[in-house]
Amino acid sequence: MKSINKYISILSLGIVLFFASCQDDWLERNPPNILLDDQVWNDANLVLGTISNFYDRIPAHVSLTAGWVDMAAYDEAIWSGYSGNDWLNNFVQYGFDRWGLWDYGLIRDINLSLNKLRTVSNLPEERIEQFEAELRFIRAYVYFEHVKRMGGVPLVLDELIYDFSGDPSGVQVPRSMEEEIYDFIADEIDEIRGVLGNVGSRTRANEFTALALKSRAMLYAGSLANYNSQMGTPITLPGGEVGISASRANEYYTKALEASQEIIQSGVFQLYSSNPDLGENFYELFINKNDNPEVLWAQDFLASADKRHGFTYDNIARSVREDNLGSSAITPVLNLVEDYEYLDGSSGELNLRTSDDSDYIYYDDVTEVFANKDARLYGTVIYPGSQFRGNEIRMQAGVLRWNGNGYDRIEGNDLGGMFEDGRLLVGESGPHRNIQEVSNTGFYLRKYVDNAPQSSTRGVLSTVWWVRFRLGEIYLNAAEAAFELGQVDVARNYLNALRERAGFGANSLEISDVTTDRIRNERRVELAFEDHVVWDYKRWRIAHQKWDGNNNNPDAVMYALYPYRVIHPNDPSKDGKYVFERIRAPRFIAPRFFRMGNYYSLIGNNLVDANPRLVRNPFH
Amino acid sequence: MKNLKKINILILCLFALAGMTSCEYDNFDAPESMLTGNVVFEGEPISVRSAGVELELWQRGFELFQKIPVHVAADGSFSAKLFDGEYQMTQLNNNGPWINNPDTLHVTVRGNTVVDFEVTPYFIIPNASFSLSGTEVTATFEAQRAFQNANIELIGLYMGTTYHTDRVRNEAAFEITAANLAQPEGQFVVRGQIPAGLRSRSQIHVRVGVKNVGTEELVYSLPFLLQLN
Repeated sequence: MKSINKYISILSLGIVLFFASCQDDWLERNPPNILLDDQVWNDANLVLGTISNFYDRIPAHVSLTAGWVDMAAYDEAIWSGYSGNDWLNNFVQYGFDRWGLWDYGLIRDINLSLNKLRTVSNLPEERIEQFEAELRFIRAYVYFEHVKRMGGVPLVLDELIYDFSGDPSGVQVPRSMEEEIYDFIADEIDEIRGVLGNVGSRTRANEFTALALKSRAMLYAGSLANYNSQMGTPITLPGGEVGISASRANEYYTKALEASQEIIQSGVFQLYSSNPDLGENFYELFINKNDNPEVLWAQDFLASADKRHGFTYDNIARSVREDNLGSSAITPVLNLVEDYEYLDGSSGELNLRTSDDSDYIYYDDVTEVFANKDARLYGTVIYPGSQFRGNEIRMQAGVLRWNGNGYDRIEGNDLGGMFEDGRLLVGESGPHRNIQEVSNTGFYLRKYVDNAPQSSTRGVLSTVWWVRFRLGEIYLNAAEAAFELGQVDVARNYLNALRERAGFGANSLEISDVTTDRIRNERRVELAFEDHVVWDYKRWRIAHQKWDGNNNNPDAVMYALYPYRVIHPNDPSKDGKYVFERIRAPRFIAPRFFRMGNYYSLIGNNLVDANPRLVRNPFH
Repeated sequence: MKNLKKINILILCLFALAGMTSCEYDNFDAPESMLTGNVVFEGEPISVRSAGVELELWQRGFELFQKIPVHVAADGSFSAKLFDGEYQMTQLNNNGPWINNPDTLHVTVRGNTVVDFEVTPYFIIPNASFSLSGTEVTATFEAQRAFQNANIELIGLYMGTTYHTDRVRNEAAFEITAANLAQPEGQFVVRGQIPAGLRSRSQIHVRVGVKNVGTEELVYSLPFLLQLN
């Protein structure tokens, strides 16, 4: 007992001594786990780290990491992957809250950063200006993401601070007009473009990235002004939160054309044309990250930083998958494939039946039906018999055996299985009517699917980047804006440049060929799976007609192409040949249905409750 | 050791039993009162596209202020199972085939409650009749303006296999746009051939609809069950 007391005494003494040896500010040390304002904003690397965080948080409806399953929600593809995601083929109508976005957390963080750079930072003035410009670019882009989904949103450019006075009206900002947001984007870009810096970067914003945003945003504003006013009853709100006057269309189109032409004429970017095989060339445009001359702005991935994604794991063609699961999720539909024209300029509709519709057309080889098509088809879609990673992707749904009066259709559940004649019954890659993770449509996705070895395994994953802006889109933006402004020859030249890269001859379009439908189709085939289709249909105000929910509307129903091998012992002109059937994709149930209330997304009632000055969107 | 294990298991079972008996399945009773009614004009129900038109119920006084969507059936009826209380009923903006009206209908639910929701449709179709000759259906109906400034965009005859037949869900649609109509309102006749796929059936559903310019939804006649064979 005594000895314990002794220990306690010594310990107490030690503690007292310990306290005595400290300095006065012992309790005022900087926290070891939080960086303070003056530490962050006075260190260029930490500022850059903060900005990187904002780049990473840029919202996207569809990208390789966010929302890519929605590639199967429109008219480019359906879902053939894991059957738990079959809702993508089955939803009765698009919800009013689909596409909804209200990311004022990110906007606040950017506003706060701008404030701190001005008030706290002692970095050199030109560094501060450059960082500010970059932050303002990201903010403008985020506002663009909002306005294209919600219409006019509250334009908040400073921190909103509640003063706890009991009256929150100071922080309840009403919605701006739709055109005010578009004007804000254009004005911001005009102000910051000179100081953005980052020359030559493909991943950080520079002057051309900003111009590309302006090109896209002004084109959207112009077409909203133009096509909304042409509707039977334009979609508007009394305060202009939705709806832009037709009188401003020309002004916006002009700005879009100017911004696009400035990028094109700068000569900094060229259309990607490194590979003489034009189909492979179009594919490489998205895969090749080394000195890619066409990409303006991409979301990059890097294996050494463990920034990778599973897009290839989920979407690689079934027969070449390297993992034991996954593959085949996004499968393009026949609707898209037939929109790729033949190189002689004729309609892209596949020749499957004789002209009097009495019999199939018999092909020696499954790829023959796709011969002489727009090279962008090969670059975007894996069709039956085409190559991927040096392998032929064999697709055959079954065999058709002549029974004397007609054909018996024989299909099977064994991928790569043989028929009783010792030859193939079902291709290693399907297509199959109901097995999951096998194409349901007869096509696989090629665009953005990595060709690097092992990239479709969950252990390795892929580092292909997501292209946000590329010169091809800028050409199309310029063409559309020029066409709407009546400069048809200008539009024609831009379209012809893209078509020439796709294998059409020089000057494949005459002036008289350039129509609204032609421009829209060029956008569809060039920009498929790049997060454009739904926004394009919205701004042209044709989404409710294209996707009217009607089973009889071929635009709202998704189709598949099933190849069959023919067994016809008595007719050598048919025996062993291939025929194709155009069918409604078996896993596709509900026609796409876009209602008027989908043009602008729902502003949730939680937001209206918190800020009663928010006006609801039309039809909500 | 063996005994200990047995005791342990017994104790575990006891706890499990106690756990199950000690709480109830749910803390609240489910709502029990039915609110039913029709969307009416001058007392007559308005037929619409089923699940296409929506009314909203709001209840104030709780922290969570969210609407209860109430879908209108093809014959213009609606129903909702609710707790007793005070509700406010409104239209979804510009949604139905009637003029937009922001007015609120106050509804008090005490047990099963019946309430009609008054609207002013652009058109009404008071008497529609369908006749069959061979494989051709002839629909004769009157489209009357119920709202002065209404203008027909198109009229249509729709055929389908189910009660839910309308402009969106149908097997065949025969539409006549305003430019091809003889008069702005009054009696119209639409004829259509029954599609081959439906001819072997004993009966099909047919319906006519009238679309006002710029309004998404149509006013319909009640789905009519047409006997074929």
